[in-house]
Amino acid sequence: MTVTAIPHGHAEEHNRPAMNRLGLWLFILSESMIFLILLTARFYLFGTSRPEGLSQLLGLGVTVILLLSSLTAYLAESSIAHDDRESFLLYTLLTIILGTMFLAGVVGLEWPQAIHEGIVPQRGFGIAYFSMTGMHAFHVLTGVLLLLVIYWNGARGGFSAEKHWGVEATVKYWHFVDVVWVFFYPALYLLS
Amino acid sequence: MIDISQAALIMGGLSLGVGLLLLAGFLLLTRFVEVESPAPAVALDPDQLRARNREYRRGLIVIVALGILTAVEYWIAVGMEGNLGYLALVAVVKAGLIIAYFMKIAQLWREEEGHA
Repeated sequence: MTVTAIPHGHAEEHNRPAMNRLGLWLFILSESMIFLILLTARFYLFGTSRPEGLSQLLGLGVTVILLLSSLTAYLAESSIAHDDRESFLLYTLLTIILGTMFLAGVVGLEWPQAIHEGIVPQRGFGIAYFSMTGMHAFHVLTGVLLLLVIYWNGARGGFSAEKHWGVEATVKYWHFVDVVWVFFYPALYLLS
Repeated sequence: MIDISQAALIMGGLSLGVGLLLLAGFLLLTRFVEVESPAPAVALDPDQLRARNREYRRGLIVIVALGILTAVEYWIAVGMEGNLGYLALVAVVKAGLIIAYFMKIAQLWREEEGHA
């Protein structure tokens, strides 16, 4: 039997993508606990009840926007993984625009409307509604900032098919934010 | 003392303002960033193009499935008085699709060629 020694540095380099991914997934798992606690608190405090004031149609609109942004993020990652830099920049830009639209929809339209309908952050269902959407919106904002960074770096030729961990991590984080909304949307807008 | 409707207006205005500023700043920024590639982009070879298009197609199929599930979800809310069990089931399927196909969770246990 022959034993081949792999130089330490080489082995580390070989395992890096796998280690990066594992680290990212652990980070995502820990982040999901925050949202799980918020979701649990919502059901513990208010059961399956929901106030009439929240617009289901508006909720549907922002949900569609966020789902579409997940598609464009996926296309951006697929493009750079095959060295198609122009498509990467285009889809990243689209994701940024859709993410900003989602933010404007939730914080700029839904929040004022909810307050107008008497759902306020200080009491009742508003406590759950504003803490859940607020925490989520903050994550969307950080996602948009990360997307801006990868657009900036991508425009300066920073990524290629062989070297795009920054893109992969940002896009995975963006999808995670989408997954969170997949559970928040029915809990806040659709339950009877 | 600011009443609640004024607070809503201020909050809404501020959010929209920040959003628009962010977008304007970004668009301005892109004017000054010259797209440059250290290794100039070359035409994709046919194999690479096929692989990329295959991934694009997969993404489109997934988004169509997510769209249908979202419509079903909305119908459950409107037509079935928002039954918690059905809504939870649809949400789990939607999340599963995103995690499996968009986030590619299988990469975690699949031995494949990595990138830096």
